Amino acid sequence: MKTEDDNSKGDDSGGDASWLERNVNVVIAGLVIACIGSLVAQLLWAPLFAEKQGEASHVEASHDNGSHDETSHDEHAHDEVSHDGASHLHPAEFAVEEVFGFEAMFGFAAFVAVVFLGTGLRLIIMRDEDYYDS
Amino acid sequence: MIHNLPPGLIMVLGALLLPFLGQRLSAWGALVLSSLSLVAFWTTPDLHAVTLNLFGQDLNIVRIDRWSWIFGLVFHLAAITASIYALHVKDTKQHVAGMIYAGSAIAACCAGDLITLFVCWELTAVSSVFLIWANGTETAYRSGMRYLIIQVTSGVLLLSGAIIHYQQTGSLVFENFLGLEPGQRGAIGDLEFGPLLILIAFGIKGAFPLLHNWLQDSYPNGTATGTVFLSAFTTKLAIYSLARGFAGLEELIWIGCAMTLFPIVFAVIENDLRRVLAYSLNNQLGFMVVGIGIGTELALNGTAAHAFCHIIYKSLLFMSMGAVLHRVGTTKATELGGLHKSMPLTTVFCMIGGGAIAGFPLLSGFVSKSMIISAAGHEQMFTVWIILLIASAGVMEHSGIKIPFFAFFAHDSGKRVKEAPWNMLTAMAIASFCCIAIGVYYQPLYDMLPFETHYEPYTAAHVIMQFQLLLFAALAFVFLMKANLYPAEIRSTNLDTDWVYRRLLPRLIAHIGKFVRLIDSMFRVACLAMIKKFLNWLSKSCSAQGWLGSTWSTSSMAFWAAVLLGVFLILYYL
Repeated sequence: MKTEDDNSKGDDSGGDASWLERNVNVVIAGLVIACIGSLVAQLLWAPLFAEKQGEASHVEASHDNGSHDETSHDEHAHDEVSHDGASHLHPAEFAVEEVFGFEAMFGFAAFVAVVFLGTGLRLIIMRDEDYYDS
Repeated sequence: MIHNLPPGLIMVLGALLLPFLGQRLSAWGALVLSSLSLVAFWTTPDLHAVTLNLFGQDLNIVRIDRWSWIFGLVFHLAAITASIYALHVKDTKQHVAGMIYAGSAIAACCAGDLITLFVCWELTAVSSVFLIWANGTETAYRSGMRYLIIQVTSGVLLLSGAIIHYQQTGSLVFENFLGLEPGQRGAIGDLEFGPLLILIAFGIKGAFPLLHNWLQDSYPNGTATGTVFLSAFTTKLAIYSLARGFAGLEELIWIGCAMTLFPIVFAVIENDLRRVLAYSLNNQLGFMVVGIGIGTELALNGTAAHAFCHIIYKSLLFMSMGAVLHRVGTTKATELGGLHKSMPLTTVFCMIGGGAIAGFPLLSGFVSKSMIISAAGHEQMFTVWIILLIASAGVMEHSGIKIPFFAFFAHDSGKRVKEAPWNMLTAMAIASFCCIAIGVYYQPLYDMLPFETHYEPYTAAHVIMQFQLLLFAALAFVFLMKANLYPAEIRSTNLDTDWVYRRLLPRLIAHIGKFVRLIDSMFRVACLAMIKKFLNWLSKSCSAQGWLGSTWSTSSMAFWAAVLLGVFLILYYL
């Protein structure tokens, strides 16, 4: 995944262009597919997620309280086995997590916001490179 | 026997012998020293403590428990990888400085009392500055000076706080100053004056907001190899100390939140990629400080785990940029680009580091950062949780994308250099391996944490959500680039709080000086004029024509003598 993300920013530059530089669009397409894949994955897991949430929160909560007695842990392990994949789901701490594509939208929006804030900040704090030497 | 000496002492004392090995061998000597120290540390028994009576005061010079163990271990790993990374360096003083620095940081995290902590604390400051000065430029010298002043100030505050604390409580033991157990929380108002000073000392070294700028000022000025050392120890020693002394201090949650947020914005517009990494380091410390503030077992485990992983992937990122600096001679984004053709291995290692810090599943950042975010969730701290998510997207921006992209891809700078030297590649390979190994097989790390944990990072929903967050953040980058909305790299200086003491204060002092000079000169002129007037009058009076200088008649003299005698007579009778 990571490789795709970062390589997606290659740029054509004539002569000795590398494979990445010649295939930027392929890499971007890969990223888009991965994005769609992550949304589809949530759709697939969503029904199980809602069903399991109550129980999972309970188990996680017991971890947080630091109760480490073996019996509760064993129960947990048993739980995981009997419910197979379902119990591997992360318990939602906040309702907003269950909204479809929440993290996707959030990631996109936060990234754009941070970059715009940075651009704005430049107006205030940017000086010449040799500002402190002058 | 060796276990009764502070861990790290082998490195500190051994470093003094390195100059005798000559320039070529001293690098290998440093590697041997850090490896020997690791062996000694590894074989130290659990819950080991050594007390030394000095000047009638019991000093707990060695205290090995789960906290000091995990930090001591990762400090050793960092010292070894950094030593391998610096094997080609022929400058003996850098190796000496690096070893004393790493050794004293290790000794500091195994110190059980505040005085031992203070000694090691100052030693890290004094030794590490040579890694900046070794760069040899005027800029590095000045930056190192500022670094030293700030670090020593932190030490002085720590000592003052410790003395006041001792006077109030009669104890020098380094433990939670609020007396909190994991899961309990206290407020800053409950702190006495002594611990408050200590908190500020830790805050300076931990790069709290507004106290942070020494970090971004000095680290980019270190040598290619020196900054790898610097990135590992100072700030994480502060994190360790905060976790030990102030776990559960509620204000730390908000301080940490601020720390995760503001550096990401600065990182977007910074041109020097090593300075981007320094901002990114600051942001990562924020996650740990939030964990310390939350103070539950899960949160503190998260802090310890995150510090462990962070030291490794941050070293890796600094190593990759160090390799670029070593080969190209600069880490300015405006000068770089397209290096993936000539430094393919460094590119891959840098991307592994970037992936780890961004928190991609199967890499180390994911298994540690998740604990802190989950801890905020479990405590139902919605705002904190949201802030940490924003910060996670921000990490993806500056370290996951910006660093690898502008150095190795982007517009081809046309620079064709050699791949990094073998020792740099080896060190980066080891760090990359650790990033992947911890991400995949995290149980050994979890077993080392201060508290027992059954935390499970790889739940389906968690993995999916993390992928969504990171992939869509990457998509946002592509979108911004394509739309030409991503800020172009510009050769520039961005002001930060260092402006206060590099520009404002000197100017203010200059202005105050001018004002004082003005008042002073006016005062002098006025005084001189008065004296001149007086002298004029005096010379006039005393001249042959003046009333004092001229001859008086005998009668007037007799008259004044009679007056004088009369006055005397009256006074006598009174």
